[in-house]
Amino acid sequence: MTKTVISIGCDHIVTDIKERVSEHLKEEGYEVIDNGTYDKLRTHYPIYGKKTAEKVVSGEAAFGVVLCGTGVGISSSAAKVPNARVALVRDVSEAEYARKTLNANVVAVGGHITGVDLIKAIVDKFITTDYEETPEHEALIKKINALEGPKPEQTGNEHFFDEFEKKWEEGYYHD
Amino acid sequence: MKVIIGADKDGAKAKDELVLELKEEGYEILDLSKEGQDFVDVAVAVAKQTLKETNNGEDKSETAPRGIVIDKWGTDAFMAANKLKHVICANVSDEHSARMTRRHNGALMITLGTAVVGSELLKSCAKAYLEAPFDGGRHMVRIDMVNKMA
Repeated sequence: MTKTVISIGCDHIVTDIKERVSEHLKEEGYEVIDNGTYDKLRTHYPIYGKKTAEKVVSGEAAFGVVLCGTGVGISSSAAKVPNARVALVRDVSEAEYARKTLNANVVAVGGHITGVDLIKAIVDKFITTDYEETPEHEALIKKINALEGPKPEQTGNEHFFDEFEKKWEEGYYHD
Repeated sequence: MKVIIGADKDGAKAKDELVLELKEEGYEILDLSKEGQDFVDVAVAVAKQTLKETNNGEDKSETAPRGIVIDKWGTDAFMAANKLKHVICANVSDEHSARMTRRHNGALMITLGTAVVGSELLKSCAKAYLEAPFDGGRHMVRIDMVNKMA
């Protein structure tokens, strides 16, 4: 039997937490695509939110899991991928609701907000809960999808953020 | 500071309580709630109005308007709002996230779910968000990246 594939990504703040979730998923028999970041070197969450969600909407992975400090940065980035339906949650109930009602395909948590065992429980529930297809649920999803703008040159473009990384390296952005 | 607020039927009571308290504290309130709106309608109404009043989120000053949506789950309105360009929306159920998302993400708006947080925590999260400044600096590169996405 082929393994269900989970796409996972994080920023440098919670790399260790992501690795623990990734290990957990592998132990449970899932295949994990780890989109980075892979260390604690300062980087930028949109890169990983975009990559992780794109693997889901392309069909390479069944579900996505994204983490940053509060989960907000990486989830709002993932949400701007066409056909990604991202749920930022802090408990199992919200994750279950988002799967059942909205067919959410990416779950986000704050790695500094939610404890690692609860994160694992949230992810487990998210990826094992089936979408309940009803006319009402379908109408809501259609309404949410209709909010998306045109995405010229965005999808699959690994150089989409280059201009900002260049400015970052040049010291344009500083505290 | 102006707070642009909206609730569907599941968030109406909590929204009214919050509005009362925020008014007492001197906040200016624009309540966009209308009968018959679902969470997508409310999220979009609050997001669009807050974008309009902040020059697409560019104004992140201490007095810049901010948006709050209250429905049953929070995470659904969050899903809808973040589909709009220039919207950075946070679904929160704790004060620390509420504060940090303004400081680091410059979040334009937050969502709160009445099935998730009790009435006191809901008010406390809203205030933590409204009272937090935006840190700017290095955080701006990430916001510029998100804003390039459609």
